[in-house]
Amino acid sequence: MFPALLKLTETDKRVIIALLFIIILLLVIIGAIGYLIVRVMKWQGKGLDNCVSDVLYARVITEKKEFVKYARKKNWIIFYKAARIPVIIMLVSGLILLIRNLIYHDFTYNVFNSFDGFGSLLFIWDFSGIISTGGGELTFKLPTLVSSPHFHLHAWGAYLFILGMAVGGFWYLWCVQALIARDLRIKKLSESIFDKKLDQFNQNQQLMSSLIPGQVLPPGVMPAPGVAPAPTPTPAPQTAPAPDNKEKEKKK
Amino acid sequence: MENIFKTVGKGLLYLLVLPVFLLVITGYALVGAFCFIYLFFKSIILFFSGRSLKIELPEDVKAKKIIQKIIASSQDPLLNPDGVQPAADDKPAEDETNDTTEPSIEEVAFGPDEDIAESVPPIVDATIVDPEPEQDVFIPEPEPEIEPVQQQKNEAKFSEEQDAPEVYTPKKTKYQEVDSDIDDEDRGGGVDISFKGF
Repeated sequence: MFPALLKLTETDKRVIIALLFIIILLLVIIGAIGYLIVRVMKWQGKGLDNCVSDVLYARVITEKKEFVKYARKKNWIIFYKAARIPVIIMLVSGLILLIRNLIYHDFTYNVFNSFDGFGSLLFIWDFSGIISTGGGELTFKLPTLVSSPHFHLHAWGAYLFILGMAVGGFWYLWCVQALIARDLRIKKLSESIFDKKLDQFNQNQQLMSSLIPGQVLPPGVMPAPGVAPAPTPTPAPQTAPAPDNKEKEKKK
Repeated sequence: MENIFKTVGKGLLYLLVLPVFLLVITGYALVGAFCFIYLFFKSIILFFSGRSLKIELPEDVKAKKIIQKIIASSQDPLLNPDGVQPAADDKPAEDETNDTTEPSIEEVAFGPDEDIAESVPPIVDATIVDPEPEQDVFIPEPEPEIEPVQQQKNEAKFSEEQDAPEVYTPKKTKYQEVDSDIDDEDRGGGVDISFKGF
C-alpha cells in the first residue's frame, strides 16, 4: 500500500518542491521581521539610558531595588508622554464617527460595509463555490469580484474613523513596544550595574600572598591589605661585564 | 547558505514565540491604557494645583545638583572652561565639619572660649581711623539770663503748682512694660494711654 502511495508523479514532486520553497521563504521572511523587531526593541530600550544615567553617575541610587522602582516609575511617565498623541488621534477619530452618526441619525452604521463604509475602498471577492466536487471530479473556480474600489461621499465618517484608528492604533502599539523594551532594559541594567563578580577572586590565594611577601600574584588577584605588592620582575640591563672581573678570572 | 538556514531557524522560533509575544503586548497595552488614564487624571489634578507631571523626579534633581557641583569644582578645563570655583557657601557641609585647626592650651584646659571675639577689643590705629565724636557726653548749656519781671512770674507759677492737687500716676507693673513693648509698634491711632515716657 505504502509503495503505491509513494509513487509520485513528476508533477507531484514539482508541487512538493515548490511548497517547500514557499515555506522556507515564509520562514526567512518571518525570521527577518523578528530580527528587525528585536533590533528595534534594543534601540528603543537604550532610550532609557539617557533618562537614568545621571542618577547612576552621581550615585544617588546605589541599590538594585531602588533603581528598579525609580526606573519603572520613569518608564510609565515616558509612556504616558509618548502615548498622548496617538490616544488623542484615536479619540478625535471616534468623535468624527459620532458626529457623522448624529448628522445622519444612524447609530446602526457599520463602518466596514462595502456600500457606504470603508469597504467601498476595497476589492471584495466572493469565494463561495470556488471548489466544487460535482460529477466526481474536483474542480477549482476563480472567485467572482463583488465590489471594486470606489469613493462614496456618505462614507467620509468611516474613512476618517478607520484612518485615524489605524494610525493611532499602530502608534500606540509602537509606544507599548517601547514600554516593553525599556522594561527589559531595566531588568538587564539592574542585574549588570549592581553586579558583584567573584570570578577572579580567590581568598586562599590572597591569604598565601600575605604569608609570602615576595610572591607574585596572578592577574586579577588583589594583594592582602597591609602587604606591599611584590616588585615586578624587570629584565636585567644588557651591559658588558666589568673588565676588572674578567682580568681577575683570567689570573685565577 | 549557513546564514539562510540560521534565518529559517530563527523564523521558526519566532513563529512559535509569536503567540506569546502577542499575548504580552496585549497585556501591556491594556495595563498601559489603565495607567494612561490614571496618569491623565493625576496630571489634571497636578495642573490645578499649579504643578505639572514631569519626567524629572526628585532623584534627578539631586543628581543634577551633585554633577553641577562636581563640574564647578573640577580643575579640568574641558569640564570647567571658565575656571570658576564655587563660593564658600556652596561647599558641602562635610567640609565645614572638618575643622583642622589645632586647639590651644587654654582651650584644651578650660574648654573652647566662646566670647574671645567679644572680650578682646579690636586694635584700631588712631592715626589711620578718624575717631568718632562722643555723643554720650553731657555738656550743660549755659542758663539764659532771666529778667526780674519774668523771674517773679515764674515764682508765682511755681507756688500755684505747689498748691495744686497731686496728679494721679499709676504704678508701673512688670506686665505693663511687656504690654507696651508689644503694643507700641502695632498701635496706629486712638488715645495713647501708655505711661512709657512719663
